[in-house]
Order: sequence, then structure tokens, then C-alpha cells
Amino acid sequence: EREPRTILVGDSQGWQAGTNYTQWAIQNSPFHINDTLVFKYPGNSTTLAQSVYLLPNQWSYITCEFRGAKLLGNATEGDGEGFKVELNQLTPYYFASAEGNFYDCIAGLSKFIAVPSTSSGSS
Amino acid sequence: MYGGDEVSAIVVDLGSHTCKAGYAGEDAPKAVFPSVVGAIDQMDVDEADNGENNSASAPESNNNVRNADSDKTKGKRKLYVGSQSLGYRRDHMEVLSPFKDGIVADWDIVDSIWDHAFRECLLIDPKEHPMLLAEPSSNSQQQRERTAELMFEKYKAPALFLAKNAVLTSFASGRATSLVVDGGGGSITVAPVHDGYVLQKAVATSPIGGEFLTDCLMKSLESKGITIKPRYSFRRKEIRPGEFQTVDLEFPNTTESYKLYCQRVIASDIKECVCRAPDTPYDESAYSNIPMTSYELPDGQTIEIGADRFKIPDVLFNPSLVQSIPGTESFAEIAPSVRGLPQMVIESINKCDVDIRRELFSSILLAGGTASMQQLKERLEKDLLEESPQAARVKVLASGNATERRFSVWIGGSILASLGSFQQMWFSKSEYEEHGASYIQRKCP
Repeated sequence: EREPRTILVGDSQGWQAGTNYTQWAIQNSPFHINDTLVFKYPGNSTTLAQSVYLLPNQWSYITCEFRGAKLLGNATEGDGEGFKVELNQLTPYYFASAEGNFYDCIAGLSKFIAVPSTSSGSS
Repeated sequence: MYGGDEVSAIVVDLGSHTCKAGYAGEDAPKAVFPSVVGAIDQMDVDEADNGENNSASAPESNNNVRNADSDKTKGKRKLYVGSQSLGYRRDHMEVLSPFKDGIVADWDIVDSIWDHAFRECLLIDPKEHPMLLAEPSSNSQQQRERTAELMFEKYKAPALFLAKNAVLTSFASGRATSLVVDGGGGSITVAPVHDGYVLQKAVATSPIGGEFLTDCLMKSLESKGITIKPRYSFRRKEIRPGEFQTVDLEFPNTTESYKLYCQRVIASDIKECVCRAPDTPYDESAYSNIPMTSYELPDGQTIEIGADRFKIPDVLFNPSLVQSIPGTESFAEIAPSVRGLPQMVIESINKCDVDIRRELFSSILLAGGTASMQQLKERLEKDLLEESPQAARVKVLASGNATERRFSVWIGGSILASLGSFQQMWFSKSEYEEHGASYIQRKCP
């Protein structure tokens, strides 16, 4: 039995619009059940405010359709220790940011999928 | 998770009639060839193929890059794949389909078709390209796992994704929710897509596809004394400048299935040239005096086609019409259970949640070669307006471009696999090795 990890999304860059989290997720996978993802973003910044959404399904993820999306962390919750999400379901998590331009999202930026695994594969 | 370098994915749509294959990101498949193969049982014949002295060139578009025949020995069978190979008559060659009732029944044939697509048409090494494969809307988990095993174990594909035909068509049109009417060669499928997922309980299928219509046309012409000569069975000799004489050739060892295949190719072309859906239900007396249309057969014989131009397509809307075509007695057994297209659409939508029915009625998408028939869109829209609930706003949509309609499944796959965001959706080889083939259900919902 391995210890659950706490993973900072985007590493030192944190969570911000226009960043390629698809690539980040590929490099940081696999995720495991009960891992915790930390979304860190400044709450009172002069730059674009951030948020964390959970999209309902694969289609919404691919097409960047936010209808039916669930707001997990609002603009002020990413400050300090950051906003934490525990991956406690064996189901794909479709994370996305609603900020930034639409093309970023369609092109694979500002979003990623985490599919928690139960196996003890290499991390 | 697959994190490979920028290399184009391969998109393959193995339909019941044709296989479409090409590179993701392009607007049309590079290769389109028959989904049936020639097969010679090696125990029945000598190694040297006797009697191969004539070739029937199939009018089907031939996108094969190389000229070499595709010879693949599978155990005790030799398989011939592709338009060129099938266009060459061989003694004792049967024509076989990998599908039975829409489900893969012969994986060796599927394997040989994929191999032909990769190595002879696209000229690629499959271990260098992620593979996106289109699959029937009601594909089973067992079929999916078998697909994954073949792709990862035999072809060493670095990554794989399976996407349902209806979802890909919906995607190609930019819609998350639609009712996809896919008229293929082997069947017509009506599948509701809601937020990118097929609603399985409402999927409807009819065995009346393009090939069935072609067979109806052939039988109707035969009942009028018109014989379609396979291209291999004659040679045209110029006896005087501009004047030709047809010489019949005898090939007694030709199989019935190959003869039928060659006749179907010609009948299919007749169908595509002259048939169109009638504005209203076909009526024998009303159509008995319409002007004839001429069609020149490959052997030089000119035939006249009249009422069949409208009667054959109307079978899609009124399947009981089949019983008035001589030679279709075998259809009588299943005829009572086969519904026409408008009925299939309405029954499918009525099995969906009440809340989305209105949206489905207003986003009916036509896809596939058979759905590209002239005037089919107009007729379907008209019938649905008459038969659907008052509140529904019926809208039947079809790409203005016939090529896009015919290849909409493949095009949807091409768009999907070329999206940057798609790159973390792949079912990677390492995930297959770690979790096994059953993981495909998690990765490709």
C-alpha cells in the first residue's frame, strides 16, 4: 500500500490560464486513488482571476462546454495553501479553468484529466 | 498516459461496406476500400493460381498507393484485400465479410484489412502512430477488448482510442446532442447522442442498408430480363472503327459470391446514378408512366430504368414495398418487424428522456453513403413533420457536401484526434500492460 501523494498542479507555476496542463498531466500521471491535487493561484492578484471547475463528462471536456460544470474553487480559494481536491472516486476528473480564451481550452491548455488508479504503478 | 511526440494519429473507420483510413487533422480519408475480402482455401486449390487471365477493374475509387496485390496467408486461407485485389478474378475465390449482423465474426479478416490499410495504403509502421478507431454505437465490451488486444499485441500501437460512430458524426457537425441517422452499406442505425454519449437504450438498427437496396434493384432488373454481366465475363472487340462486339468469356471456377460481388458493384453504380427518394410514398399506378432514364452497362448494353428510380429508395421509408419485388421472398420472414426510417427516428426519440426530445428533433443528422441519396433529406423531414408531435420543431441536417456526409464518421475522428486536448485521452500501451484490455472501458467511455 503506497502513501497518497499531494501534488501541486502546474508545479511552481501553479494554476493559471493559458498554461498547458494537458502536458503537465501526462508528465505527472498516473494519479492514484486518494491523491490530493492542490490548485494554487493568487486570490487578490491584478492579473486574471482564476477558478477551478469540474466538467461533467468527456464531451464537455473536449468541446470546452461549461454548461453543467461544477465550480469547485472560486477566485479567492486558491490563495495561501491553495485549493485542495482529493481524488476519492474511481472515475475520470475533468478539471478546467473558465478563464483565458476559448482557443486555449480547445487546444488543450487550461485543463486536464485525472483518472485515479488503484494499482501500485511507478509514480 | 500517452505522451508521445507530435506525430499524426491514424483514424480508421471500418464500416460494413467500406473501410476509410487516413491521418488525423486531414479533411478526408487517404484510403477507401471494400470491407470485404477475397479468400481462397489453400487446401482446395493448387498453389499456382490457375485461370488468372482476366481482370475486372472495379469502378470503386482505388486509393491504393502500391500496385502489388495484398496477399495475406491466414492459416489455411489466402486473403486478398483492397479494390485492386478484389478487382482481379481468381478461381475458387470467395468474397467474405468480417461482419455478421453488424458484429465482427472473423477477426482474421479484420486483421488483414487493418494491415492493408496501414502497410499498403498509408505506408506507415503502426507502432509509430496512435490509433483512433471508430466503432459501432452498440459495440460490446468483448469486441472492444479484442480490438485492444490486437492493436497492442500485434501492431504494437503506442496508443489507442475507440469512439462510437454516432459520437464522431455528432462531433464532425459541432454538436454535443443530436440524433444521428447513419445509412451505411449493411444497415441503417439511428442513435441519439446526448452531451457526447450515445444513449444505448434508444439505438435502433434496420437491416435495410445500401447493399439491400442494391440487391432489390438487381432483382427488379432481372425480373425485367436485364442481366448484369460481371466485368470479367466478357471482352469487347472492335470489329470496325467505333463499332464493338461483346465476346463472352467462360470461367467455370468462379465462385457465386465473387460473381455476385462484381454484379453488385455495377448495380450499385446504377443506383447511385439514377435513384432518388420520391417526394411522397411510392405508388405503383402513379409511377407507371414516368419517363425512362438510360444507363449504359459496362458490356455496352443500354438499359432503361423507370419506376425503380423511385421505388427502390422508397424501401427505406416503406419496407413492405420489398414484397412487390420478384425474388425477395427470403425477406418476407423479417419484413413485419422492419420499420421505415421515420418510424425508427420517432421510436428512438420516444425512448429518450422527455427533456431532451425537443432538442433531438431539431438536430437530426444524416450520415453515411446511403443517407447521401438525392432528396432523402427532404423526404425524411417532410414525413417527420407529419408524424412527429405538434410541439417538435423538426430539422434534418446534412452537410451540403456529399463527401463530408459519406465520410462524416471518419472526419469526426480526424477532428477529435487532432485536438491538443485529446492527447491525454489516449489509452496508452503502458496502461494496457499495467491494467489489461478491460481498462478500455474506463479510458474510452
